[in-house]
Amino acid sequence: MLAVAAWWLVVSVFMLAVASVKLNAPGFLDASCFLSYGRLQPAALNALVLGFCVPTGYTVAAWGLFVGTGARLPRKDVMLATWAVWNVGLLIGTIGILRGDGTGIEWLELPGYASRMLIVSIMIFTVWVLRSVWRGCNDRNDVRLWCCVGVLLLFPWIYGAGLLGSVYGSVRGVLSAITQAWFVQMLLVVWGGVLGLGVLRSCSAGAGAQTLASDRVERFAFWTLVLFGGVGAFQRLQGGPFPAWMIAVGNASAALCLLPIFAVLASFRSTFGEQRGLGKFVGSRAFLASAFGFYALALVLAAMSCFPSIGRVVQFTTYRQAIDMSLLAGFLVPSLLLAVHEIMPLHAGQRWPEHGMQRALLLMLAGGALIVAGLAIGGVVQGVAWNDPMVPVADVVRRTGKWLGVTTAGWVLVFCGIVWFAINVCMLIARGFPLVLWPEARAWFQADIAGKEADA
Amino acid sequence: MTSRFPFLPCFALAVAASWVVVVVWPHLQLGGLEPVTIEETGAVYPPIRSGEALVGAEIYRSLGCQYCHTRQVRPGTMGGDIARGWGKRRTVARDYIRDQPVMLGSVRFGPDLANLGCRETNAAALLLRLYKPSAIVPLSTMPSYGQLFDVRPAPRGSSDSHNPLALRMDSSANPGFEVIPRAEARALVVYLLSLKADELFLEVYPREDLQKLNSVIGMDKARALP
Ligand code: HEC
Repeated sequence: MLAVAAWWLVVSVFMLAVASVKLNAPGFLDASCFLSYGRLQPAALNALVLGFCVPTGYTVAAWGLFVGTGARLPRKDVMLATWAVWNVGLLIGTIGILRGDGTGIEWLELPGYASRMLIVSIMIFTVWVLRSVWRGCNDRNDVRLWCCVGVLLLFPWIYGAGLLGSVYGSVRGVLSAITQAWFVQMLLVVWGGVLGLGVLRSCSAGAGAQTLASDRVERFAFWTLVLFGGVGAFQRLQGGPFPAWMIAVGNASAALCLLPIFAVLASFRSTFGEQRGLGKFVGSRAFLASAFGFYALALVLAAMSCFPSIGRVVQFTTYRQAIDMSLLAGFLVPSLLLAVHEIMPLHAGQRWPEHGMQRALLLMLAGGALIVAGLAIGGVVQGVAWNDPMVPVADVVRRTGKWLGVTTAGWVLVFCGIVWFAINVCMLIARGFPLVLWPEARAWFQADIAGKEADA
Repeated sequence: MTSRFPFLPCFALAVAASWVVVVVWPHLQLGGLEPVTIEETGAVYPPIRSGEALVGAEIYRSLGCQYCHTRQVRPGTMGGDIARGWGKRRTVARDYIRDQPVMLGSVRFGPDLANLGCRETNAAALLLRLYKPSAIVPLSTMPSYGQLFDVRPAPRGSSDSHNPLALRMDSSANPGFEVIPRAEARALVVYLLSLKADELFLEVYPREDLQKLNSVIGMDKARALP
């Protein structure tokens, strides 16, 4: 399961790197229309989100649930079958986008026949996991577990609602754009935020630390994020053909989104303080801090674009992409990889090649920084140029192109980092690391055994 | 609190709240928009697109033009869109009620296309741009869509192609060949030529203008009264 996800990760990042080269050199790999920018970019993004982020996020959340509740494992065949359907659907859909069947609605491009497979399989999976947890669970009040439940439930919900409101439903005109904005915002800021921050939080605090609800600050952060994060979707519509109140509400909530960031910052400081000297995974602290930094950066960038003087420059430029990529490539992907690293069970005496891991993560973070910097600065340059009617179109393109080159370099670095990560995992396998294809299944087995032992 | 806190209902409520505000409310406000009739001309706006243009819209979607081109014009106070000649006015929700899916685009790697049909009326120029963007703008970063065209040897004996459909371009590019746009290319161009969002109706006027207008009308009435 995770191996397939990792495969999607490698492929999609490679595709994104190629797509970003194409922005400067459209002739690159121009053999056929399948690989033109307008198809490669959406196909790659969908593969990254639906191929890597969602399955890994699900695995992490489900793992958290099973380990946390000590529930018995469900039968794995149903689970594997749903994920097989998911991945086949995604493969068909990605090919569909490259063939030109994309829906044309950004982030929801998977053609209808594929997205139906996805939504059905994820619903079955969710029900399955929750049902078996519900059966096996005796203590139903731990809020941290509920967060895992939230992560599991939220995605089918927003994906289903997003598809209904913009792809399946016959809505007219800009309404589908509004639904789409809501979906992307919920996905990146709220779903990704809860998941990623949860991962970072539990990694930094170590297992068994305080639960989310035991800390007022964190509860505050969680709820403000869920509340304002989604409404901030309006902010994506800035400058578009929408009534003024929408933009105003969006701006307000984008600014309010900064509240949870401050709260999380505060709680992180304290956990970091406690953690000092614990000698965990080397370098993980800097790593955690910078992954979190990307999340904060994205929200700050979003809030900044609310000022009309900034907004008029950065609207409809790569600045928006900088925000999304900061959330996706800078924050969510590294956090999920970290989670994989944490939950991959190791034999006694077996260790991750820490050195290699560190380099891989470092490469990824450096790449992420270049991507975001290139897109954000490029966006400002692009916006300033477009806003000056005296600058000819060719000049706008040329000026932006330089910064897009930085972004391309960033993607290449991220790609190298991910390949490095994959090589490390392969090395583990080579050293006789059993069951690596289904690490979460293995972890569940262990939890199961531990549960039985506790019973006995 | 930790134990009795009804987490799930609250969570569902929070998500639903954002959904209601962001999705449902605009649907109530904008869902019922109907085309308007322009008083002076009697025309209905936005106009119904021809079948060929609708096919073109599908091709626009399938090639992903919207990943590089927006189709939304901002008001003059928000950026240089109008100064650049991308439109006479800002675009409003009513402009798009016949679009499905609506392809607003979010990034401008190339110019905005909301009013392309107003500033570019030459189909041949658009075809050439699709076939070979660098023929118009050297070093253009727009991809070339050669697969929408057939390149075949020109009929013997004629230096220039006589096919009325053939693309006129610098024949030194590939001598002895003519480039014939396929049906897809022609449909796409029909669609591009139909991109116009320039009719003026009530909601497109900036608010200050409306206030001015109202006060003028009010003064007229006041003068007419005594
Ligand atoms: C990789 C990004 C990209 C994609 C994809 C793309 N374009 Fe472009 N387009 C550009 C750039 C950059 C320019 C401006 C430079 C130039 O004129 O070549 C441009 C210019 C244009 C223009 C001229 C606009 C004007 O104001 O004169 C038209 C028309 C156009 N594109 C149509 C299309 C269509 C139709 C598609 C889809 C089949 C498309 N473009 C896909 C980048 C792109």
